[in-house]
Amino acid sequence: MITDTGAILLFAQTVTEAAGAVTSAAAGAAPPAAVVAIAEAAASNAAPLGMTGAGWAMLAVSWTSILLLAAFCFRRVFKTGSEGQDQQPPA
Amino acid sequence: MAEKPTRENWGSRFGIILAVAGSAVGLGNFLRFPVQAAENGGGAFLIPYFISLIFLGIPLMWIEWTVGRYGGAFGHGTAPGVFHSLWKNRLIKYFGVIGIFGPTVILMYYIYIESWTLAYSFFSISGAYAGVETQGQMVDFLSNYQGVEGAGISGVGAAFFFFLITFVANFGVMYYGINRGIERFAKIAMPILFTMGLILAIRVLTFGTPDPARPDWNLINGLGFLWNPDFSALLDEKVWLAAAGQTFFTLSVGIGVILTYASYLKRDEDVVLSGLTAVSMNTIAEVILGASIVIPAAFIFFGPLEVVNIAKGGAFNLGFVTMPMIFTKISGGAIFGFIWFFLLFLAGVTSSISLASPAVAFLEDEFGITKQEAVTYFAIICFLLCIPSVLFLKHGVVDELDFWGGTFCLVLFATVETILFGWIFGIDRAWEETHLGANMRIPKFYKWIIKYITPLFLFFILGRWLLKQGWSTLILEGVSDENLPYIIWTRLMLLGLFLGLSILVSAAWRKKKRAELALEEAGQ
Repeated sequence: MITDTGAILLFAQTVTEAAGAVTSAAAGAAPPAAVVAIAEAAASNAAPLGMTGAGWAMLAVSWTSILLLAAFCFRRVFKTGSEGQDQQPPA
Repeated sequence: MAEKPTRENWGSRFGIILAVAGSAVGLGNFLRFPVQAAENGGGAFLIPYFISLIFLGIPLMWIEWTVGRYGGAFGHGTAPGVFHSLWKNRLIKYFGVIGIFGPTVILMYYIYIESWTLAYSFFSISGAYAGVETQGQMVDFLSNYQGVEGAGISGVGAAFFFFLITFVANFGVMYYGINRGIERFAKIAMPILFTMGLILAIRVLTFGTPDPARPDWNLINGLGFLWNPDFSALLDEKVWLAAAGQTFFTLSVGIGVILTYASYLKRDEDVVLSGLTAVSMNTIAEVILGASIVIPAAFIFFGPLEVVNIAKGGAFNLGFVTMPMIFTKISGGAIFGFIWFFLLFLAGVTSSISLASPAVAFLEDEFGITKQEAVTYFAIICFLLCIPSVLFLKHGVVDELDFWGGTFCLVLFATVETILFGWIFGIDRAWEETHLGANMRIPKFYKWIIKYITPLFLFFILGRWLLKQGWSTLILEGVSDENLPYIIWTRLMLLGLFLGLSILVSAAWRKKKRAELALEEAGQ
């Protein structure tokens, strides 16, 4: 539910800086050091383009386990109904 | 135990599951989670995320459902009364004040942010940002709308107008009560929300390669950017804390709202399966829908370099700048823009309604007034409390409220609640209480997790914050001179609110004591 509101004003500044950097780069000026650092990080992040086998595995395992949990829960909710209780409280 | 027959109940089990899921599914599911995952190891982030869900999120969900239902049987729907039902200590009810204070503080800015999503739904359909071509211009568009620069399309006027509509919508739903208001709304809003999320996810997953000149900016690479695991990130403590924070915050636990919702359950109604079902719905919205929309879409349209930049700008950057930019580039963008922002609006309303519930329930339960009176009184107070967020956004007021209400109080309240439940109420009684009317048994090892692991996890998060950030936050380190008076006033306002609530709690207990004495005298 939480909104990450701490970034509300920060993002405006970041994007404005980034936009400024693009403009200055287009004009032949050197981009600020912070933007260079981000670009380097992006380059290293983006190196293995495409989905790797591990990426597909993470996606498949996550989605499958979440959907299985939901299916299990909803099946039991609908089976037991609004008022139903198929188990007694522990002694 | 004396049950109060006058308290409302949920009309159906599915109703409360949807209401709790609605409380949990918020802006963070669609905006915060994908950013957190992208920044913290991609697919590998899911490993600490699921571990935190198992050891922290799910146990806390069960704890809140159980203590809420338990307190409700004593006629208490909020933490002061519920805590007092669990432990007959005269001071514990004041710790419970956090369970009303925290949600109210979040509400003070959340409704305002929620109103932006309503405004942007309107802007999408009306084409208000259709001509915007750069991210910088889109930032200006948002700043102008918020009135941050003091000029623009309509300054604070437009923002205030949409805030009023959102505010009235929230309290309008609440006015009709649990069954006819919140439950009915959740039953309509949640299916629409999931359908909209599915439509958007399908749209993004069929983008392919929209720009033939940039063949690398395609869907598979976008998914790879988010999902390819960087397992070395698992050695970083920050990644684990980010995952714990995400699972904790996303479920709406540790804040007192689920406790209030659960207090309207019947004494023998299941909490185990219902709680787990709400968790599963929230996780679908987050990991399946949330992860399939913003980051892949941003990658496809802005490429790997810019998407990192965007992610570093924060979740709001993605939601209110990047996504509208994408909608200006695709056919049917006005419709998809509307779907995106209205989805966020519904996610916001279902959450903000739950945030208002503890304060309303407190007035209703402890002072014996009707739901409608309680909603009206709280709406007036809340409206006044929201004004600083609207007017002083640029001075860091919202960040300050978010820190105290949305971060600090959450962890503190969850810690108190967990200790109370597992140690003072006693894990054996707690276990029995949780399973009362349960439709499924919790695996036995959870008894150990609830008693030891969950509180330790919370103590670690709280202690780490106190050591690393606590003092500097308290002494206002890093706050600019320009913002300093606003932050100090905000803190004074929060202090006043907390004291006011504590006085109300004290008054309610005195009133109850007098009533009991009068009853005894009448009996004699």
